Amino acid sequence: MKTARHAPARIVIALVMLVVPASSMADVTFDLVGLCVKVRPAYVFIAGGSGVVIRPDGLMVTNDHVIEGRRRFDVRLGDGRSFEARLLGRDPVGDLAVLKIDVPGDEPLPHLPLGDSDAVRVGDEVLAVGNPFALGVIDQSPTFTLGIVSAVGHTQGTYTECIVTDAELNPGNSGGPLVTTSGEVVGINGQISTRYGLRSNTGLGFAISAKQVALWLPRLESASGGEVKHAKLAGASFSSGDRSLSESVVVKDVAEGSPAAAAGFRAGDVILAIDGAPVADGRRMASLLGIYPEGHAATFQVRRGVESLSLEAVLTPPQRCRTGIDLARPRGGELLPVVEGVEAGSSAEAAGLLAGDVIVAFRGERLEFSSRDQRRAFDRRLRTSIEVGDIVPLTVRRSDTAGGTTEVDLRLVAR
Amino acid sequence: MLDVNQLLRRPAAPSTGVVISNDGFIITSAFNVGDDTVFLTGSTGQLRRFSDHEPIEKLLADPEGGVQPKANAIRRVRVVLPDGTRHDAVVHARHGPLGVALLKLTSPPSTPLSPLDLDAVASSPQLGDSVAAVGLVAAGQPAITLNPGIVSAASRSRGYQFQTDALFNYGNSGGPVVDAAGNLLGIVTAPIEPDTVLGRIFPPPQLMRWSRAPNSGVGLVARADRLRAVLEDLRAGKSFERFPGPYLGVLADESRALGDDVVIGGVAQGSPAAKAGLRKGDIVLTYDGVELTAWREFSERIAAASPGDTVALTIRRRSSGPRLVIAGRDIETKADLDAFTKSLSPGDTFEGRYVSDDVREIEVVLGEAR
Repeated sequence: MKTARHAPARIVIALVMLVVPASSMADVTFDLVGLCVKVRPAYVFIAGGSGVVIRPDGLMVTNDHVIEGRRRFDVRLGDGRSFEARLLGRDPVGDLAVLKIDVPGDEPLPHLPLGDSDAVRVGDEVLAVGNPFALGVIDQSPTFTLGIVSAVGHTQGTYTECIVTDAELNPGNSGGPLVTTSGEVVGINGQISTRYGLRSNTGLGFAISAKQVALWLPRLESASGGEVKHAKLAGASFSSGDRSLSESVVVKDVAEGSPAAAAGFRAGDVILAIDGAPVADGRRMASLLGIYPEGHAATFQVRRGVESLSLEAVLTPPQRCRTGIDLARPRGGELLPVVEGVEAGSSAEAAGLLAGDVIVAFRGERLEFSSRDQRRAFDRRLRTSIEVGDIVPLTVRRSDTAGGTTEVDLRLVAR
Repeated sequence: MLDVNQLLRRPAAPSTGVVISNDGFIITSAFNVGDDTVFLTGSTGQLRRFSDHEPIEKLLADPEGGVQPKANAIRRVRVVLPDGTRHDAVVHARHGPLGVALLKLTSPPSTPLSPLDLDAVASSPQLGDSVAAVGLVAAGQPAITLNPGIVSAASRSRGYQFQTDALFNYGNSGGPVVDAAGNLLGIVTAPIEPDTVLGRIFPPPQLMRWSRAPNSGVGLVARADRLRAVLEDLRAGKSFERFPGPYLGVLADESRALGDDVVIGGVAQGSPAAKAGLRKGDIVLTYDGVELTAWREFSERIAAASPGDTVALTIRRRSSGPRLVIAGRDIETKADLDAFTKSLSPGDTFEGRYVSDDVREIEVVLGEAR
């Protein structure tokens, strides 16, 4: 009888044909059929995902997670031709990979140019091309989905300054192009939001901007199959921290001999823009700095007093380093970190930290722990988040200051 | 709580069909009237409930073997006509490759129907065309819905279906997809991939275990032009389980489908391919002497042949070492030798060769799909 409960009568509601007014259809004001025809041959089937040829010499872009762990790259173009490709360079953090399709006789390949992703506006129509659920592998026909740009300058995991689209993206779209109505690539589709462990479209798709691709291309192209690292401005600390909202970013301190010092930064400088993109707050700055490869020379627009200056700084990859602080194991109910010892010659010693100091604030953030797990997470952060050139403000409680606190700055130097 | 039975299988709520004749024929999706699977808790036999955010892979591999898939047969179909009257219907015919079923009302309605004339309105989709899907939202009083989209791919499933990015829910299944002129492009198939849900038949490291879900923007639609071509057969009560025409019985190895190699990913039991000795992992090099560089070329050549044709395939199979070939047969196992010995009559002579080549010639007699 259980079966009966699971097997209800099927109800089918029959329709007669409806006349659908043309205005109810996807409101396409350009030649979408022509656009699809133009875009298709430059699309690339690769592994379980997608890619796009962006230069006639066979240079193609995809996501790093599409090619990760592979050595051989059989690719097939949207026009059905199959080739082998070579890996030129990867950025696992930014999720980009650049490959070269080797074409016999150097025959030029159909390609789509990289567009200007800074010119993309919310509401622009965009076309995504991909291989969702690998439906197109056997019949060699990619999937086209149409949507709009839902947001720009978005941060999603390790993607920063990315484009959000409601063009339907699914597993297999990864690495495929997000194309404007004029046939330019403005993004590389790479992530989606999902629910219930069902990895399928939710209307939130994230594409790496063409600007980021263009910034990385020269370095990835000449990386001989290796990785290129992300970079940031080393040697400066900022007053608004890295994440605060609606607070302008002010240089708090500059480490001597650092790239920030070499660029001419001084304490008190207010960051106005990076490479022409306005910096409203710390979060925006972190997002903007998330798209740069090592060695990029970024132009910082700063205000110093009444002056407005342009400073050019070479961005460098973070180098992890030791602080020289040895923390005591948490005892009893005290979860705040207590300095047990300070290594000789370390940044901690140079900053004047003493055994017995209790760290009550880290990078301007008051520390509060309600569990040992939280405390362990902080210990990890202290070990892994500190980089050469960092200036890390700490507030410590010291027994000889009668309950008062002392501010110290850890200046991390390479040793 | 998320009821995975609701999420993964066809819910009990109404879905859609299209009246196509005055004598009570209705086209709907095969999914709407097909057998499906529910998940039961092994110990109690009750529907198993699952919590949010449990990955589906984990649900299907429930520890303690507690989750039992169970076939759930559909027995009755009730049809609600546009005038609100309810009628009983039977499944008259199914077409597997299209993904549609033809229903017939058990007794003709008293009021005349206003059927859709497929011959007059069936049209072919073109990549990039604007389309709209007509379906139902079934909460409370059913209401008709319209979901716009584009043709994402004009041909899927060997041309029996096309693909659209219009968002499909269960209420769309069996409903029409039309173009801007109101022409019928097709009938919505399943909004979800039932095979994926049950774990695909082919094992890892095949494609990731993906599940095409409602609203994925990947919607497959039975093409109206292909439907029109088989409608007469369906009305005569003839069902099509497989792609009609010649039948070999092999699956592509999709994980290797991008290269030039045509790699067999699976061989159906008892199929012509199995009888000819094709095996999973074989690479098909030539078809009747013509070199193959893509699975599509292979499947197109088979589709162009006729049932009963003998086809010569050259395949490459990595063998562990040299093998004996006697009278054109590979003698690799004791079973091969026994079968060969059995085929001999006293006085027979034969020639044997010791072969170390990975390349073999195989002859297959194509069957007929039904």
